Amino acid sequence: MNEKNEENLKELLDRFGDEDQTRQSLEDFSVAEAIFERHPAPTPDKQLLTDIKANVARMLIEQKRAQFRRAIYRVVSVAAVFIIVSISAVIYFQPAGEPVPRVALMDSSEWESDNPSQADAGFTVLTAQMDQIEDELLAIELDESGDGAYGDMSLDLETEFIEIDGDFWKG
Amino acid sequence: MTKMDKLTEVVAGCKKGDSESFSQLVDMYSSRIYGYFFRLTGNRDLSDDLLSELFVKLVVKIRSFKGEKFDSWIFRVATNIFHDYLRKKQRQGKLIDAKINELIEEETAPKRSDNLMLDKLQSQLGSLDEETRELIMLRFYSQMSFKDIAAMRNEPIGTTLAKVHRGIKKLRIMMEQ
Repeated sequence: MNEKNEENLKELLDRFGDEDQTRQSLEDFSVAEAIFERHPAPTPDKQLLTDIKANVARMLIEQKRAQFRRAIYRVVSVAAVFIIVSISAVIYFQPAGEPVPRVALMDSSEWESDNPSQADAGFTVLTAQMDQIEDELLAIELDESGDGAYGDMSLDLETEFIEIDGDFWKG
Repeated sequence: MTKMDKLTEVVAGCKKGDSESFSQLVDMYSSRIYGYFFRLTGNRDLSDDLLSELFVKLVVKIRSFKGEKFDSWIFRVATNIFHDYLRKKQRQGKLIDAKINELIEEETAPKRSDNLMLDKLQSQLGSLDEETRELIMLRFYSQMSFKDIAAMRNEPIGTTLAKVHRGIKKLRIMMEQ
């Protein structure tokens, strides 16, 4: 039974009018009910109801997807905050350990010296060898010995090239 | 299982987002609410749209249902949708503030575009003012008690009763002519 029928209309009307008015009102309501029953409103098409149900089902799926995405974002956000807080806490509360020892790569006297060969024996040998090579190259270029050694060296080299070239073509 | 128990179960299913429960809700309420919209607008296409909109809104709004009388609740949502429609029309410039009643009369008047021959009741309903027509429709289609209708409209029950009585009396006279 619906609420309308559960309601005692006579009792309600009695509160606002006399007996005649109540009787007349009840008759009006009764006639109106009959009019509505004689003139039923059209009902919705089956296709409309099918469309509505399909639309609602689609919306529910979208709604669930959105809820899932929101849940994922929430979890990721909480995890990110947790990680940041954890790292911050570790850094903040880490006990101050032994200071890292500083080891010099070279002696300060070597760093400040203008003459590195004085400070490093290996460097002295290298420098000497480079000087020697430089001198020898200069001597060759100037043919200082005057014995035509430079020319002989060039001639020997050319002869050697010719021989190599000949052997190459002979196979 | 009583009808009330069934409704409680269906509403609980809807609140959980169950598609089958929503289908059952559509079957349970579509005829009455469609009749309500049709008697207010007199237009089948418009009633189709309003009914579709109602159930779409219910998908979201159902969570706000706190367990009061469901019929009252769903018809309140339907009434709000109808009022939103009127306001939208108004904003679109198809209505002016003081002439909402004229719109309703126009909407409820028979239209050639309607594929349905409107009945005498629909024509006579167009002669009533918007408020009275809405009250009578609520009474006959929502099956709500006067107490609930009055509560929904935030007015004394005597006022609601008097308005509906005046309306049906006028309707009765018109229908008997």
